[in-house]
Amino acid sequence: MTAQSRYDVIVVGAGLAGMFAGALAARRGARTLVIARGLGGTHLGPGTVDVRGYDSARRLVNNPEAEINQKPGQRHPSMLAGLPALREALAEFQKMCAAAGYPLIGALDENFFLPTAMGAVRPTCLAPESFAAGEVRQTGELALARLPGFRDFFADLMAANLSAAGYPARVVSLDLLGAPIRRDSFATDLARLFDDPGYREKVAHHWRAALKGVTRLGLPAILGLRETDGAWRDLRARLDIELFEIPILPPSVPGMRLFNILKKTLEAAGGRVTIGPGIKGWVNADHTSQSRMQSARTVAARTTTARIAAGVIAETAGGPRYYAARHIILATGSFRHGGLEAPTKGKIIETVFGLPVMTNEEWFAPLYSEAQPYARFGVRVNEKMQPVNEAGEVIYENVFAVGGLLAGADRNGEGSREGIDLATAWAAISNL
Amino acid sequence: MTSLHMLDTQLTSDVCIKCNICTSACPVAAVTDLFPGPKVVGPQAQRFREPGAASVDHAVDYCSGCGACSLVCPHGVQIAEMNIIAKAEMAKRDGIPLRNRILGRSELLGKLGSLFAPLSNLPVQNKVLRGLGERLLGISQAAPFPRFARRTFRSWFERSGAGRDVMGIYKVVYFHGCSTNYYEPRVGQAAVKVLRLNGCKVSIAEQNCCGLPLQSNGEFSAARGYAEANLRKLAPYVRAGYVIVGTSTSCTLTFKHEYRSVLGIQGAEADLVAENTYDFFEFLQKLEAEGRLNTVFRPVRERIVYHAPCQFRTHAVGRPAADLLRRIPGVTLIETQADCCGVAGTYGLKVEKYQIATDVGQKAFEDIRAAQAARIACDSETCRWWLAGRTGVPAAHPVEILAEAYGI
Amino acid sequence: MRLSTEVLVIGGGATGLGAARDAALRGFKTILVEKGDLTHGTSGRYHGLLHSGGRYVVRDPHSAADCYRENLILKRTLPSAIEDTGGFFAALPEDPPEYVEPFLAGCRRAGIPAEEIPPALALKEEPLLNPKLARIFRVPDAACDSFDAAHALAESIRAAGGEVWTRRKVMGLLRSGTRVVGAELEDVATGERLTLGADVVVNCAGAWTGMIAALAGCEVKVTPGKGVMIAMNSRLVNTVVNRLKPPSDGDILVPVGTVAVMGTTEVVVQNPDQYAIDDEEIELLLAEGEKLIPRFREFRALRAWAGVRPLFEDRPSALTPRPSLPGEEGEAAPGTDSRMMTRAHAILDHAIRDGVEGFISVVGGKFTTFRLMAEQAVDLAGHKLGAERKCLTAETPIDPPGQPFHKLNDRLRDVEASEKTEIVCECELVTRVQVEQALNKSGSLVLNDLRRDLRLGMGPCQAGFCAYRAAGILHSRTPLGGEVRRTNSALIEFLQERWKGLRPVMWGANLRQMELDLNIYRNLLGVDRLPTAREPEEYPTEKTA
Repeated sequence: MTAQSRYDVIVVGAGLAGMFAGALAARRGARTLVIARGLGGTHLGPGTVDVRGYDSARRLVNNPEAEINQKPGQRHPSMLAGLPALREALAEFQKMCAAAGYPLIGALDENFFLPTAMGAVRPTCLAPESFAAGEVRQTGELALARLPGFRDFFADLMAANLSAAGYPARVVSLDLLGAPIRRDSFATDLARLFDDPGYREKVAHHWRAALKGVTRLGLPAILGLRETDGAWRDLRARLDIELFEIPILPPSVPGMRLFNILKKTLEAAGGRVTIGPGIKGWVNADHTSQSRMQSARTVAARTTTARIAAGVIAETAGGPRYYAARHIILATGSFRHGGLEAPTKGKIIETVFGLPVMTNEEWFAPLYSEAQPYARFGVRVNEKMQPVNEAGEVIYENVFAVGGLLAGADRNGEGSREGIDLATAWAAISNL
Repeated sequence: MTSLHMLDTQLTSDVCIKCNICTSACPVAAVTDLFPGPKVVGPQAQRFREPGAASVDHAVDYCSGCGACSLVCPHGVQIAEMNIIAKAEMAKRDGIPLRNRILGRSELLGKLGSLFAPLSNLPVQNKVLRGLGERLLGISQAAPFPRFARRTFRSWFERSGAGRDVMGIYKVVYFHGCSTNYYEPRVGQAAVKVLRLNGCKVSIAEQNCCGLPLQSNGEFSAARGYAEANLRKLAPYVRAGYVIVGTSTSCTLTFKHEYRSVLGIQGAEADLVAENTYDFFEFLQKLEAEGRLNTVFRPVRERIVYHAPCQFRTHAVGRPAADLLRRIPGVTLIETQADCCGVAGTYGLKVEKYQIATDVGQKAFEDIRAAQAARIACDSETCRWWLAGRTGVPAAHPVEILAEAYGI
Repeated sequence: MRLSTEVLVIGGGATGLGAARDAALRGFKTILVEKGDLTHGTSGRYHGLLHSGGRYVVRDPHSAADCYRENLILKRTLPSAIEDTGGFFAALPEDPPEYVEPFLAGCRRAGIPAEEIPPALALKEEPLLNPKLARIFRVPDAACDSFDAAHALAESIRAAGGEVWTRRKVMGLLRSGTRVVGAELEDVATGERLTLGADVVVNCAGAWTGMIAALAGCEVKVTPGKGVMIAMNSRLVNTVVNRLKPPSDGDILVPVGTVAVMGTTEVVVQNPDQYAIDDEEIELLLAEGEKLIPRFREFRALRAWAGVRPLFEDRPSALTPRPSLPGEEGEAAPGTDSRMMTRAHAILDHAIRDGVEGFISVVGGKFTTFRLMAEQAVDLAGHKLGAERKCLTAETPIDPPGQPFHKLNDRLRDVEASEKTEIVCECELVTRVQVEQALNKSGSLVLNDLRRDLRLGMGPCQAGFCAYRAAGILHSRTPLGGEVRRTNSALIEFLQERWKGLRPVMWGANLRQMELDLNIYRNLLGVDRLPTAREPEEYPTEKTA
């Protein structure tokens, strides 16, 4: 089968791990393609970088670095490539965001404790500037905006829970000036309004009276979609109070900001993003690459047991198209977006290359609010991020697995999603 | 990505997990409150639609069919496709306005228009007639329209003898479509020359309108008529070893995807044609991967701004036109960051949708102006006409620029 | 506090509601009490089928005739709760062909129209059906939403001067000598006790009938027959599809609103409050579904649940005589297979059985015949009250005149037509106004009640978005912002309740959904870390799995 096109690096998956890996690869000069069926978890998450928020008893963690370093021998995905790799990955991501005018602040040795849209406390390591004033341990009462007409923000409930936890909070009712008009209003609708400086001016003027005596105000995370426009900064200046955003139900505006930054970074470095087709792994019968660009180095490095994958097959509108790649990064995530699939009860497959998956008899816990065993299922990798089988043998030399696809982490329970995404993507690209 | 027939397309609503990723990507929902978004009018409403019953939700009419939603859905819900089917169902029950019947009949308009060209071009420019057109039919008087060519592309092809090659590394049926034949024969001329330069034998086969404008305006039976005619005429070529290559991304997408997923046509001919159709630059990319593409280019010293049409994105083959144009010496290629130019085929021509289409296209217009380019390059004719008309920057199909680079 | 009534009905399922309505319409002072929410028992967990009776024509012809008569009455009097889907009885080549003639003969005898249609026509109407289906007969089955029916019945009871008290549990029956004279009730929310005097008590407690009867020292053996059902996320058929063969497990597929319900199994359990859903039962339903619809397993199984049939087996002499069909010899003898146990109902006069006056129990039966059971029970109650008044429920519509049948697209039309108002549950198109009205009326703090009232959380995302929104609305409506721990508990309990039905079918797209919902509740919102009013183990999960 002939290739439609050839790349140095193909990343499968356009979530945080995939887009970060793609940006890193493109910046290193690799001819890079990020290809995915659909968008990833950035559009659904809080828009922060969680490294380790909770310990194994689901208690808040103050120092994520100390927590993950506790058991140095453990094979937690974020530590597979070591602490220095995690640090560099975070630093690099911060640099990319800062360059786009949307700095993420925070440090690996101290979590923020931020309020959630239920009024619980949520730890995170790196957050946008616009979130920082929500730190619950900061003294002084915080106010939350009740926005009549917007269905995804319940200030009264949040204030009640925060106050009950010892963080005084009250509610102030603010008018969105006739917005949103339609009944099915989403975060993105409001965010686009706040992108307009004229709207911000009107709203700030209108709110001034209601905000007398308020020093810290929490709004849902809708202060602009165009991250470079500084909508939050502008509104904060106009209101002259501490203003912070709280992430709400999907679609996630702060998550979309991060996606857009990575996309621009990737494309500016010459990479391509193609969203749409389903992807299958391309393996030739003799487990070699047909690419004429196969370098001598790759040939020499091939062991007798490991094989080479040729690339990926994209299920496009007109049928399969073959894309050759020297290296393939699988950033396909866990079950939610189909990196792993359970076609029937108790069965699990890795959907691109059919890689061996670490699984267990017990999948589900009786209580919804407990940690679910299946969350730890996934692909095993070595410290280079190459998928390995039970015996530790590398399956395909030129395939790497990163992010949520990996085994060993209950990302929701631990609060460790984005740290794993960034650290493993970094490690994979560094090993090319 | 392609489902086998209409029921399958509708039943992809089964896997929707309501995540709102599609909602976040919809260019129409972003600019108007009349459209609640693809999730709402697509998989969500689909569960409540009764087969055979009158339509009860009309917001779906504002879906432009751009297809962004289906592309960004991580689960395989064929949102745009089910919306098109829902609109056709609605058209069946509520009736189709005369305007939509006219706009759907691309081939007929083309035949008549080119027969009477250049006289037939006067109404397009005449303010009074355009005003009447808006009041009586609902065709926006501000919407840009192309001009009918005096001589069709087919008549050029026959006269030029371009189809007389005996051999070639590839045998290609060039699908010209209505736009090239009746409005822009120069695009077809460039395409044929480029193909022959690269060693292909080119035929133009008997062909009809692909049927997409009829489908978009809800006339599925008429669209199927054209579809079946095309399949009958083209399948024998594919069986004889030809590939089908087209310069209109909407026509080629219709072959690849819509005939089966939206119109529900099944069978060996539908599969054969779908699997052997290529967008023009997708085909050149394939030639290059096989080491067969001529890459000796003359300089073309120009700033060019490229806009990837929505329908092209649904091909899901990347942006091969932009990739190739970049390699022409002297070309400075800027790509727009806009998702949709707004016109969406015949959508932006309709008076009640014109403003929405304009709002959707703002980002594209801004990017084009900011690029300060001499020309817009775009693979889709309706996008070209709309963008050129709205920005004042002339537009060309990327193949025309390529032909210049080849010196042909 | 001492109150009294003429007729006290125990049980807020279809039977109890039917009896209370019947009694109220006859002019009796009537109060209905229900320990949970309306249809919290079997009525809220059934298949959704309004039988034509075709299923019973061979083995239980009496029941079949009753079904058909009641089917027509309900279609006339309560169309708003009924979707007139029609039904098929369809035989595969492997099904016993010798069943067809008795089936047709039975339909004729019971007056049930059964018209044979060519398989090609059936396939045209239902393209997903198995093309191998050999013989297909069209019957007047329909789909009925028991929640809608319950609401309409409750409204109608109140309109006729009766009362409906939910969340009042019967703790004891008051006796005066050998006479039952009332009940001791407990308000489930507050724990407050209340004594209610009654001239006659009608026990319509379904699967709990035996427990209530025991409070009066009477023995009523009700066998809980568990039946598991799966809701398929998509409406795979628009017609009820029954297998044409002797009734067995997994042989009916019913379109109920936006889903298709595949059922059911039959397993005797010990306790109507506690039972599990077994993997084998799920697998059986999927396998049987595949026979009707070859592509069945491709589709998303959304949720599994079980209802408990209150099956009754008793000494024939104690049964109240019922009018028999012409040519019929006597009651069908109860068999060992609980499916063979008659689905026919019985009205038990405890004065005759146990020497206890003022007390009637209604046992057995099915949803389709609830009105008939109620009529017979209230006939007996009236007799005991010395006031033999005519039953009006067969002729008196519950719905206003001209009310059409429920249609699938009703909610979609309503939402399009209504003014700007937030949609809280997008899957089922439930608006904020509806949620607030329901909260006003019920005063309940249990989100699961909202689910029953409005279908909130019953769609594909299984409360992924709307549970959060409903909790927020719930909180903002309680006085002074309410005690936030109760709101947190309401949310977590609702999520736990949804989880119970998801776990047995957790694979494929459902697992993707689960991942999204967990990311929302555990990651984004942190609900498991909020203080609650009670510990998770103590949650009243109603039917634990």
